[in-house]
Amino acid sequence: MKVDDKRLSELIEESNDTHSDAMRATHGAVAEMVELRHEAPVSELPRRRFINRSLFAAGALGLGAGALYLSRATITVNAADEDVAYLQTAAAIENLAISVYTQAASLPPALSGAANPVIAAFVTNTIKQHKEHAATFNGALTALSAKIQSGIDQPVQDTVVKPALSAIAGPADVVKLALTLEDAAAASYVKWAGDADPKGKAFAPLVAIAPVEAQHVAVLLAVQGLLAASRPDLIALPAPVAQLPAAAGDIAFPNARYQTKNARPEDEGKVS
Amino acid sequence: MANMKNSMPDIDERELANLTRDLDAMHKDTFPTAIAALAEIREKALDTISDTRGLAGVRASRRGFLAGGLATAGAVGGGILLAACGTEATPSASATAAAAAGDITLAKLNAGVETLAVFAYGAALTAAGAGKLGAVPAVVQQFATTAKAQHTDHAGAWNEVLTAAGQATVSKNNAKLEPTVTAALGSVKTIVDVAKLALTLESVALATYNKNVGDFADAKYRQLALTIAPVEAQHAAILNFVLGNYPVPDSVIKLDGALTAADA
Repeated sequence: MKVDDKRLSELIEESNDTHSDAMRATHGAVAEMVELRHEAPVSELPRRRFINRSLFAAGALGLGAGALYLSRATITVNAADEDVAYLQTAAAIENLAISVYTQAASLPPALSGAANPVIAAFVTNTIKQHKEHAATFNGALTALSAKIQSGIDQPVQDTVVKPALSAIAGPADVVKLALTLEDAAAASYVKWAGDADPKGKAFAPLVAIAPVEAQHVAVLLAVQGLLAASRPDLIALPAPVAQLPAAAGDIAFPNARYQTKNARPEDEGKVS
Repeated sequence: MANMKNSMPDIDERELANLTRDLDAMHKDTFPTAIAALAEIREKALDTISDTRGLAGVRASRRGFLAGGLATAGAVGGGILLAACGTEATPSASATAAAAAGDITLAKLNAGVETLAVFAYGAALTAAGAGKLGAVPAVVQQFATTAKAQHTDHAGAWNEVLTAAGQATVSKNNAKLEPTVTAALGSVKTIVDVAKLALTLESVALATYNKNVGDFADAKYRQLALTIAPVEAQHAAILNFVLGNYPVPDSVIKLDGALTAADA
Protein backbone atom coordinates (compact mmCIF):
# COMPACT_ATOMS: atom_id res chain seq x y z
CA MET A 1 0.00 0.00 0.00
CA LYS A 2 1.25 3.43 -0.90
CA VAL A 3 1.63 6.01 1.78
CA ASP A 4 -0.39 9.20 1.58
CA ASP A 5 2.52 11.66 1.47
CA LYS A 6 0.31 14.62 2.32
CA ARG A 7 -1.15 12.91 5.36
CA LEU A 8 2.30 11.68 6.46
CA SER A 9 3.68 15.20 6.20
CA GLU A 10 0.80 16.49 8.31
CA LEU A 11 1.42 13.82 10.92
CA ILE A 12 5.13 14.57 11.05
CA GLU A 13 4.40 18.27 11.32
CA GLU A 14 2.01 17.60 14.20
CA SER A 15 4.66 15.47 15.84
CA ASN A 16 7.20 18.24 15.39
CA ASP A 17 4.81 20.77 16.89
CA THR A 18 4.21 18.49 19.84
CA HIS A 19 7.95 18.13 20.31
CA SER A 20 8.46 21.87 20.08
CA ASP A 21 5.66 22.59 22.55
CA ALA A 22 6.95 20.02 24.99
CA MET A 23 10.53 21.22 24.73
CA ARG A 24 9.48 24.85 25.16
CA ALA A 25 7.69 23.86 28.35
CA THR A 26 10.71 21.85 29.47
CA HIS A 27 13.11 24.69 28.72
CA GLY A 28 10.79 27.06 30.57
CA ALA A 29 10.83 24.82 33.59
CA VAL A 30 14.61 24.49 33.43
CA ALA A 31 15.02 28.25 33.16
CA GLU A 32 12.73 28.68 36.16
CA MET A 33 14.79 26.14 38.08
CA VAL A 34 17.99 28.05 37.38
CA GLU A 35 16.31 31.21 38.59
CA LEU A 36 15.10 29.46 41.72
CA ARG A 37 18.59 28.13 42.32
CA HIS A 38 19.82 31.71 42.46
CA GLU A 39 17.32 32.36 45.23
CA ALA A 40 17.94 29.29 47.34
CA PRO A 41 20.42 26.43 47.45
CA VAL A 42 19.48 22.98 46.25
CA SER A 43 21.40 20.05 47.59
CA GLU A 44 24.07 18.49 45.41
CA LEU A 45 22.57 15.02 45.10
CA PRO A 46 19.20 15.90 43.60
CA ARG A 47 20.88 18.41 41.28
CA ARG A 48 23.27 15.75 40.02
CA ARG A 49 20.43 13.29 39.54
CA PHE A 50 18.43 15.96 37.77
CA ILE A 51 21.29 16.84 35.46
CA ASN A 52 22.04 13.20 34.72
CA ARG A 53 18.43 12.48 33.92
CA SER A 54 17.97 15.61 31.93
CA LEU A 55 21.11 14.99 29.91
CA PHE A 56 19.92 11.45 29.27
CA ALA A 57 16.59 12.76 28.10
CA ALA A 58 18.20 15.45 25.99
CA GLY A 59 20.59 12.95 24.47
CA ALA A 60 17.80 10.55 23.67
CA LEU A 61 16.02 13.33 21.87
CA GLY A 62 19.15 14.48 20.13
CA LEU A 63 18.94 17.90 21.74
CA GLY A 64 22.50 19.07 21.84
CA ALA A 65 21.36 22.60 22.47
CA GLY A 66 19.44 21.47 25.54
CA ALA A 67 22.50 19.72 26.89
CA LEU A 68 24.59 22.83 26.37
CA TYR A 69 21.96 24.88 28.19
CA LEU A 70 21.96 22.51 31.11
CA SER A 71 25.74 22.37 31.32
CA ARG A 72 25.79 26.16 31.53
CA ALA A 73 23.16 26.01 34.25
CA THR A 74 25.36 23.56 36.13
CA ILE A 75 28.25 26.00 36.12
CA THR A 76 25.96 28.82 37.22
CA VAL A 77 24.57 26.93 40.17
CA ASN A 78 27.89 25.65 41.54
CA ALA A 79 27.51 25.88 45.31
CA ALA A 80 31.27 26.24 45.76
CA ASP A 81 31.13 29.58 43.96
CA GLU A 82 28.76 30.86 46.61
CA ASP A 83 31.06 29.62 49.37
CA VAL A 84 33.97 31.44 47.75
CA ALA A 85 31.93 34.67 47.72
CA TYR A 86 30.96 34.28 51.39
CA LEU A 87 34.54 33.52 52.42
CA GLN A 88 36.22 36.26 50.38
CA THR A 89 33.76 38.90 51.56
CA ALA A 90 34.07 37.70 55.15
CA ALA A 91 37.86 37.96 54.92
CA ALA A 92 37.48 41.47 53.44
CA ILE A 93 35.25 42.48 56.37
CA GLU A 94 37.79 41.10 58.83
CA ASN A 95 40.66 42.88 57.08
CA LEU A 96 38.73 46.14 57.23
CA ALA A 97 38.04 45.66 60.95
CA ILE A 98 41.76 45.09 61.56
CA SER A 99 42.55 48.24 59.61
CA VAL A 100 40.01 50.36 61.50
CA TYR A 101 40.99 49.14 64.98
CA THR A 102 44.65 49.67 64.08
CA GLN A 103 43.95 53.22 62.92
CA ALA A 104 41.92 53.85 66.07
CA ALA A 105 44.77 52.58 68.21
CA SER A 106 47.10 55.09 66.57
CA LEU A 107 44.91 58.03 67.58
CA PRO A 108 45.72 59.99 70.75
CA PRO A 109 44.38 57.93 73.70
CA ALA A 110 42.02 60.69 74.76
CA LEU A 111 40.46 60.58 71.31
CA SER A 112 40.36 56.81 70.83
CA GLY A 113 39.36 55.94 74.39
CA ALA A 114 42.51 53.87 74.84
CA ALA A 115 43.35 55.88 77.94
CA ASN A 116 40.99 53.44 79.62
CA PRO A 117 42.91 50.16 80.08
CA VAL A 118 39.83 48.03 79.43
CA ILE A 119 39.23 49.75 76.11
CA ALA A 120 42.93 49.52 75.23
CA ALA A 121 42.92 45.79 76.01
CA PHE A 122 39.74 45.34 74.01
CA VAL A 123 41.28 46.99 70.94
CA THR A 124 44.44 44.86 71.19
CA ASN A 125 42.55 41.59 71.71
CA THR A 126 39.96 42.37 69.06
CA ILE A 127 42.61 43.08 66.43
CA LYS A 128 44.15 39.70 67.27
CA GLN A 129 40.80 37.93 67.01
CA HIS A 130 39.94 39.55 63.70
CA LYS A 131 43.33 38.48 62.34
CA GLU A 132 42.52 34.92 63.37
CA HIS A 133 39.10 35.20 61.70
CA ALA A 134 40.64 36.46 58.45
CA ALA A 135 43.14 33.58 58.55
CA THR A 136 40.30 31.12 59.14
CA PHE A 137 38.28 32.38 56.19
CA ASN A 138 41.34 32.48 53.96
CA GLY A 139 42.25 28.95 55.08
CA ALA A 140 38.84 27.77 53.90
CA LEU A 141 39.42 29.54 50.57
CA THR A 142 42.73 27.75 50.19
CA ALA A 143 40.96 24.46 50.86
CA LEU A 144 38.62 25.34 47.99
CA SER A 145 41.61 26.18 45.75
CA ALA A 146 40.21 29.71 45.51
CA LYS A 147 41.98 33.05 45.75
CA ILE A 148 42.47 34.33 49.26
CA GLN A 149 41.26 37.81 50.14
CA SER A 150 44.01 40.07 51.49
CA GLY A 151 42.20 43.33 50.77
CA ILE A 152 39.54 45.23 52.67
CA ASP A 153 35.82 45.55 52.05
CA GLN A 154 36.12 48.60 49.82
CA PRO A 155 32.42 49.60 49.65
CA VAL A 156 32.24 49.72 53.45
CA GLN A 157 35.55 51.55 53.60
CA ASP A 158 34.29 54.15 51.12
CA THR A 159 30.77 54.65 52.42
CA VAL A 160 31.13 54.05 56.16
CA VAL A 161 34.69 54.06 57.43
CA LYS A 162 36.23 56.95 55.52
CA PRO A 163 33.55 59.51 56.46
CA ALA A 164 33.43 58.26 60.06
CA LEU A 165 37.19 58.35 60.59
CA SER A 166 37.41 61.89 59.35
CA ALA A 167 34.74 62.99 61.83
CA ILE A 168 36.07 61.34 64.99
CA ALA A 169 35.94 63.75 67.91
CA GLY A 170 36.19 61.36 70.82
CA PRO A 171 35.88 57.77 72.10
CA ALA A 172 32.13 57.63 71.46
CA ASP A 173 32.74 58.13 67.73
CA VAL A 174 35.33 55.35 67.67
CA VAL A 175 32.96 53.02 69.50
CA LYS A 176 30.13 53.88 67.13
CA LEU A 177 32.25 53.07 64.08
CA ALA A 178 33.50 49.82 65.61
CA LEU A 179 29.92 48.87 66.47
CA THR A 180 28.82 49.41 62.87
CA LEU A 181 31.58 47.12 61.60
CA GLU A 182 31.10 44.42 64.23
CA ASP A 183 27.34 44.36 63.77
CA ALA A 184 27.73 44.14 59.99
CA ALA A 185 30.11 41.22 60.45
CA ALA A 186 27.86 39.36 62.89
CA ALA A 187 24.70 40.02 60.85
CA SER A 188 26.41 38.98 57.61
CA TYR A 189 27.79 35.74 59.01
CA VAL A 190 24.46 34.79 60.60
CA LYS A 191 22.58 35.47 57.36
CA TRP A 192 25.10 33.84 55.06
CA ALA A 193 25.36 30.73 57.26
CA GLY A 194 21.59 30.49 56.98
CA ASP A 195 21.84 30.64 53.19
CA ALA A 196 24.95 28.47 52.78
CA ASP A 197 25.14 24.76 52.16
CA PRO A 198 25.83 23.29 55.63
CA LYS A 199 28.16 20.77 54.03
CA GLY A 200 30.14 23.46 52.21
CA LYS A 201 33.41 25.04 53.29
CA ALA A 202 31.95 28.39 54.33
CA PHE A 203 29.33 27.16 56.79
CA ALA A 204 31.49 26.03 59.72
CA PRO A 205 33.71 29.15 59.94
CA LEU A 206 30.70 31.45 59.62
CA VAL A 207 28.91 29.58 62.42
CA ALA A 208 31.96 29.53 64.68
CA ILE A 209 32.82 33.21 64.23
CA ALA A 210 29.42 34.95 64.11
CA PRO A 211 28.80 34.69 67.89
CA VAL A 212 32.26 36.12 68.59
CA GLU A 213 31.45 39.21 66.54
CA ALA A 214 28.17 39.39 68.48
CA GLN A 215 30.20 39.39 71.68
CA HIS A 216 32.29 42.28 70.36
CA VAL A 217 28.98 44.06 69.71
CA ALA A 218 27.85 43.36 73.28
CA VAL A 219 31.01 44.83 74.79
CA LEU A 220 30.83 47.89 72.55
CA LEU A 221 27.14 48.44 73.39
CA ALA A 222 27.96 48.32 77.11
CA VAL A 223 30.88 50.73 76.64
CA GLN A 224 28.75 53.01 74.49
CA GLY A 225 26.04 53.07 77.17
CA LEU A 226 28.47 54.01 79.91
CA LEU A 227 30.09 56.69 77.76
CA ALA A 228 26.64 58.11 76.99
CA ALA A 229 25.88 58.13 80.73
CA SER A 230 29.15 60.02 81.27
CA ARG A 231 30.45 57.19 83.43
CA PRO A 232 33.62 56.03 81.62
CA ASP A 233 35.05 55.32 85.08
CA LEU A 234 32.69 52.33 85.32
CA ILE A 235 34.32 50.67 82.29
CA ALA A 236 36.55 48.44 84.36
CA LEU A 237 37.53 44.85 85.04
CA PRO A 238 36.35 43.43 87.34
CA ALA A 239 33.15 45.33 86.69
CA PRO A 240 32.08 47.58 89.57
CA VAL A 241 28.75 45.74 89.66
CA ALA A 242 27.30 47.55 92.65
CA GLN A 243 27.80 50.94 90.99
CA LEU A 244 26.57 50.12 87.52
CA PRO A 245 23.20 51.58 86.55
CA ALA A 246 20.37 49.07 86.12
CA ALA A 247 20.17 49.85 82.38
CA ALA A 248 23.70 48.48 81.93
CA GLY A 249 22.30 45.06 82.76
CA ASP A 250 20.71 44.46 79.38
CA ILE A 251 22.00 47.17 77.09
CA ALA A 252 24.44 44.70 75.54
CA PHE A 253 21.81 42.33 74.12
CA PRO A 254 18.88 44.37 72.85
CA ASN A 255 17.22 41.56 70.84
CA ALA A 256 16.28 38.01 71.72
CA ARG A 257 17.39 36.94 68.25
CA TYR A 258 20.26 38.42 66.33
CA GLN A 259 18.98 40.77 63.65
CA THR A 260 20.41 40.39 60.15
CA LYS A 261 19.13 43.57 58.50
CA ASN A 262 22.65 45.02 58.48
CA ALA A 263 24.14 42.05 56.64
CA ARG A 264 26.38 43.02 53.75
CA PRO A 265 25.95 41.72 50.19
CA GLU A 266 27.72 38.37 49.97
CA ASP A 267 29.73 39.26 46.87
CA GLU A 268 30.84 42.69 48.08
CA GLY A 269 34.38 41.55 48.83
CA LYS A 270 34.75 38.96 46.12
CA VAL A 271 38.20 38.79 44.53
CA SER A 272 37.94 39.43 40.81
CA MET B 1 9.27 20.19 5.98
CA ALA B 2 9.64 20.65 2.23
CA ASN B 3 13.12 19.10 2.22
CA MET B 4 11.97 16.26 4.39
CA LYS B 5 9.06 15.58 2.10
CA ASN B 6 11.21 15.60 -1.01
CA SER B 7 13.80 13.23 0.41
CA MET B 8 11.26 10.90 1.95
CA PRO B 9 11.66 7.33 0.71
CA ASP B 10 8.65 5.27 -0.18
CA ILE B 11 7.57 3.23 2.82
CA ASP B 12 4.65 0.96 3.37
CA GLU B 13 1.99 1.19 6.07
CA ARG B 14 3.64 -1.50 8.19
CA GLU B 15 6.96 0.35 8.23
CA LEU B 16 5.15 3.55 9.03
CA ALA B 17 3.35 1.87 11.93
CA ASN B 18 6.69 0.55 13.24
CA LEU B 19 8.33 3.95 12.96
CA THR B 20 5.40 5.60 14.69
CA ARG B 21 5.58 3.06 17.51
CA ASP B 22 9.31 3.71 17.89
CA LEU B 23 8.73 7.44 17.99
CA ASP B 24 5.98 7.02 20.57
CA ALA B 25 8.26 4.79 22.65
CA MET B 26 10.98 7.44 22.54
CA HIS B 27 8.51 10.05 23.70
CA LYS B 28 7.35 7.84 26.53
CA ASP B 29 10.90 6.97 27.54
CA THR B 30 12.30 10.45 27.57
CA PHE B 31 9.70 13.03 28.47
CA PRO B 32 8.42 11.40 31.65
CA THR B 33 12.02 11.12 32.86
CA ALA B 34 12.77 14.74 32.13
CA ILE B 35 9.46 15.95 33.52
CA ALA B 36 9.72 13.84 36.66
CA ALA B 37 13.27 15.07 37.23
CA LEU B 38 12.16 18.65 36.74
CA ALA B 39 9.19 18.18 39.04
CA GLU B 40 11.39 16.68 41.72
CA ILE B 41 14.09 19.32 41.60
CA ARG B 42 11.55 22.10 41.44
CA GLU B 43 9.69 20.74 44.45
CA LYS B 44 12.95 20.64 46.41
CA ALA B 45 13.82 24.18 45.42
CA LEU B 46 10.36 25.39 46.36
CA ASP B 47 10.59 23.61 49.69
CA THR B 48 13.94 25.26 50.36
CA ILE B 49 12.61 28.68 49.49
CA SER B 50 9.41 28.18 51.44
CA ASP B 51 11.54 27.13 54.42
CA THR B 52 13.46 30.36 54.08
CA ARG B 53 10.77 32.83 53.18
CA GLY B 54 7.44 31.33 54.09
CA LEU B 55 5.03 29.62 51.81
CA ALA B 56 2.99 32.55 50.61
CA GLY B 57 5.38 33.70 47.91
CA VAL B 58 5.84 30.36 46.25
CA ARG B 59 2.39 28.84 46.23
CA ALA B 60 1.33 30.71 43.14
CA SER B 61 4.39 29.70 41.14
CA ARG B 62 4.06 26.12 42.38
CA ARG B 63 0.53 26.08 40.97
CA GLY B 64 1.85 27.64 37.78
CA PHE B 65 4.47 24.96 37.41
CA LEU B 66 2.02 22.15 38.04
CA ALA B 67 -0.38 23.62 35.50
CA GLY B 68 2.47 24.00 33.00
CA GLY B 69 3.71 20.52 33.75
CA LEU B 70 0.29 19.05 33.24
CA ALA B 71 -0.06 20.91 29.96
CA THR B 72 3.28 19.50 28.88
CA ALA B 73 2.29 16.04 29.94
CA GLY B 74 -0.88 16.43 27.95
CA ALA B 75 1.11 17.41 24.91
CA VAL B 76 3.29 14.34 25.09
CA GLY B 77 0.72 11.78 25.96
CA GLY B 78 -1.37 12.84 28.94
CA GLY B 79 -1.26 11.57 32.47
CA ILE B 80 2.41 10.67 32.31
CA LEU B 81 3.48 13.43 34.66
CA LEU B 82 1.12 12.26 37.36
CA ALA B 83 2.33 8.70 37.02
CA ALA B 84 5.96 9.79 37.06
CA CYS B 85 5.49 12.04 40.07
CA GLY B 86 3.75 9.22 41.88
CA THR B 87 6.71 6.97 41.22
CA GLU B 88 9.20 9.53 42.47
CA ALA B 89 7.21 10.71 45.46
CA THR B 90 7.77 7.65 47.60
CA PRO B 91 11.56 7.84 48.14
CA SER B 92 11.48 11.66 48.39
CA ALA B 93 8.78 11.54 51.03
CA SER B 94 10.72 8.93 53.00
CA ALA B 95 13.87 11.03 52.91
CA THR B 96 11.97 14.10 54.03
CA ALA B 97 10.34 12.21 56.88
CA ALA B 98 13.69 10.86 58.05
CA ALA B 99 15.27 14.30 57.94
CA ALA B 100 12.32 15.81 59.76
CA ALA B 101 12.71 13.28 62.58
CA GLY B 102 16.28 14.45 63.16
CA ASP B 103 15.18 18.07 63.11
CA ILE B 104 12.41 17.38 65.62
CA THR B 105 14.84 15.73 68.01
CA LEU B 106 17.22 18.69 67.86
CA ALA B 107 14.36 21.17 68.23
CA LYS B 108 13.26 19.32 71.37
CA LEU B 109 16.83 19.35 72.67
CA ASN B 110 17.04 23.12 72.21
CA ALA B 111 13.60 23.70 73.72
CA GLY B 112 14.61 21.67 76.79
CA VAL B 113 17.85 23.62 77.25
CA GLU B 114 16.05 26.95 76.89
CA THR B 115 13.36 25.85 79.33
CA LEU B 116 16.07 24.95 81.82
CA ALA B 117 17.67 28.38 81.40
CA VAL B 118 14.31 30.04 82.06
CA PHE B 119 13.91 27.89 85.14
CA ALA B 120 17.41 28.69 86.43
CA TYR B 121 17.12 32.47 85.96
CA GLY B 122 13.64 32.34 87.49
CA ALA B 123 14.91 30.44 90.52
CA ALA B 124 17.79 32.88 90.93
CA LEU B 125 15.45 35.87 90.76
CA THR B 126 13.16 34.25 93.30
CA ALA B 127 16.09 33.56 95.60
CA ALA B 128 17.30 37.13 95.16
CA GLY B 129 13.82 38.46 95.92
CA ALA B 130 13.74 36.37 99.08
CA GLY B 131 17.05 37.87 100.19
CA LYS B 132 18.89 34.52 99.96
CA LEU B 133 21.73 35.90 97.85
CA GLY B 134 22.63 38.95 99.89
CA ALA B 135 22.53 42.39 98.31
CA VAL B 136 21.59 42.12 94.66
CA PRO B 137 22.71 45.06 92.51
CA ALA B 138 20.09 46.51 90.21
CA VAL B 139 22.25 45.77 87.17
CA VAL B 140 22.27 42.07 88.02
CA GLN B 141 18.52 42.03 88.56
CA GLN B 142 18.08 43.69 85.16
CA PHE B 143 20.45 41.25 83.47
CA ALA B 144 18.67 38.19 84.89
CA THR B 145 15.20 39.53 84.10
CA THR B 146 16.02 40.26 80.46
CA ALA B 147 18.05 37.09 79.96
CA LYS B 148 15.15 35.06 81.35
CA ALA B 149 12.73 36.83 78.98
CA GLN B 150 15.00 36.13 76.00
CA HIS B 151 15.35 32.45 76.90
CA THR B 152 11.55 32.35 77.19
CA ASP B 153 11.40 33.72 73.65
CA HIS B 154 13.88 31.08 72.49
CA ALA B 155 11.96 28.24 74.11
CA GLY B 156 8.78 29.62 72.58
CA ALA B 157 10.37 29.74 69.14
CA TRP B 158 11.42 26.09 69.31
CA ASN B 159 8.00 25.09 70.58
CA GLU B 160 6.42 26.97 67.70
CA VAL B 161 8.36 24.94 65.16
CA LEU B 162 7.47 21.77 67.03
CA THR B 163 3.80 22.73 66.96
CA ALA B 164 4.04 23.55 63.26
CA ALA B 165 5.49 20.08 62.69
CA GLY B 166 2.57 18.50 64.53
CA GLN B 167 4.68 17.63 67.56
CA ALA B 168 4.04 18.10 71.27
CA THR B 169 5.74 21.13 72.79
CA VAL B 170 8.49 20.82 75.39
CA SER B 171 7.72 22.22 78.82
CA LYS B 172 10.21 20.20 80.85
CA ASN B 173 13.82 21.08 81.58
CA ASN B 174 16.50 19.21 79.67
CA ALA B 175 16.82 15.98 81.64
CA LYS B 176 20.58 15.64 81.15
CA LEU B 177 21.43 19.00 82.72
CA GLU B 178 18.59 19.42 85.18
CA PRO B 179 20.09 17.43 88.10
CA THR B 180 23.34 19.40 87.95
CA VAL B 181 21.57 22.75 87.73
CA THR B 182 19.09 21.92 90.48
CA ALA B 183 21.92 20.84 92.76
CA ALA B 184 23.88 24.00 91.98
CA LEU B 185 20.88 26.21 92.61
CA GLY B 186 20.46 24.54 95.99
CA SER B 187 23.91 25.63 97.04
CA VAL B 188 24.22 29.16 95.62
CA LYS B 189 24.78 31.79 98.28
CA THR B 190 25.93 34.84 96.36
CA ILE B 191 25.43 36.65 93.09
CA VAL B 192 28.84 35.40 91.99
CA ASP B 193 27.67 31.80 92.49
CA VAL B 194 24.60 32.51 90.37
CA ALA B 195 26.68 34.23 87.67
CA LYS B 196 29.01 31.23 87.47
CA LEU B 197 26.07 28.86 87.10
CA ALA B 198 24.46 31.10 84.50
CA LEU B 199 27.73 31.31 82.55
CA THR B 200 27.93 27.52 82.49
CA LEU B 201 24.37 27.26 81.21
CA GLU B 202 24.86 29.94 78.55
CA SER B 203 28.10 28.32 77.39
CA VAL B 204 26.46 24.90 77.10
CA ALA B 205 23.53 26.38 75.19
CA LEU B 206 25.87 28.22 72.80
CA ALA B 207 28.05 25.16 72.24
CA THR B 208 24.97 23.01 71.68
CA TYR B 209 23.61 25.35 69.05
CA ASN B 210 26.93 25.61 67.25
CA LYS B 211 27.63 21.89 67.33
CA ASN B 212 24.24 20.83 65.98
CA VAL B 213 23.19 23.64 63.67
CA GLY B 214 24.67 21.98 60.60
CA ASP B 215 22.68 18.82 61.26
CA PHE B 216 19.31 20.45 60.69
CA ALA B 217 17.94 19.38 57.32
CA ASP B 218 15.36 22.15 57.28
CA ALA B 219 16.79 25.60 56.59
CA LYS B 220 14.29 27.38 58.81
CA TYR B 221 15.43 25.38 61.85
CA ARG B 222 19.03 26.21 61.00
CA GLN B 223 18.23 29.89 60.66
CA LEU B 224 16.47 29.94 64.00
CA ALA B 225 19.46 28.34 65.71
CA LEU B 226 21.80 30.76 63.93
CA THR B 227 19.95 33.83 65.22
CA ILE B 228 19.73 32.53 68.80
CA ALA B 229 23.34 31.38 69.28
CA PRO B 230 24.86 34.91 69.10
CA VAL B 231 22.47 36.10 71.80
CA GLU B 232 23.58 33.30 74.14
CA ALA B 233 27.13 34.41 73.33
CA GLN B 234 26.26 37.97 74.34
CA HIS B 235 24.79 36.77 77.63
CA ALA B 236 28.02 34.85 78.25
CA ALA B 237 30.15 37.92 77.46
CA ILE B 238 28.36 40.06 80.03
CA LEU B 239 28.49 37.30 82.64
CA ASN B 240 32.24 37.04 82.07
CA PHE B 241 32.45 40.81 82.54
CA VAL B 242 30.52 40.58 85.80
CA LEU B 243 32.82 37.80 86.99
CA GLY B 244 35.92 39.85 86.18
CA ASN B 245 36.93 37.75 83.18
CA TYR B 246 37.76 39.06 79.73
CA PRO B 247 34.34 39.11 78.00
CA VAL B 248 35.42 37.64 74.64
CA PRO B 249 37.80 34.88 75.63
CA ASP B 250 37.94 32.94 72.35
CA SER B 251 38.29 33.91 68.71
CA VAL B 252 36.02 31.04 67.66
CA ILE B 253 33.26 29.46 69.72
CA LYS B 254 34.36 26.33 71.53
CA LEU B 255 32.12 23.28 71.58
CA ASP B 256 33.04 22.03 75.06
CA GLY B 257 30.03 20.66 76.91
CA ALA B 258 27.78 20.68 73.85
CA LEU B 259 24.77 18.41 74.09
CA THR B 260 23.80 16.14 71.22
CA ALA B 261 20.57 14.68 69.89
CA ALA B 262 21.00 11.78 72.31
CA ASP B 263 20.59 14.25 75.19
CA ALA B 264 17.18 15.48 74.02
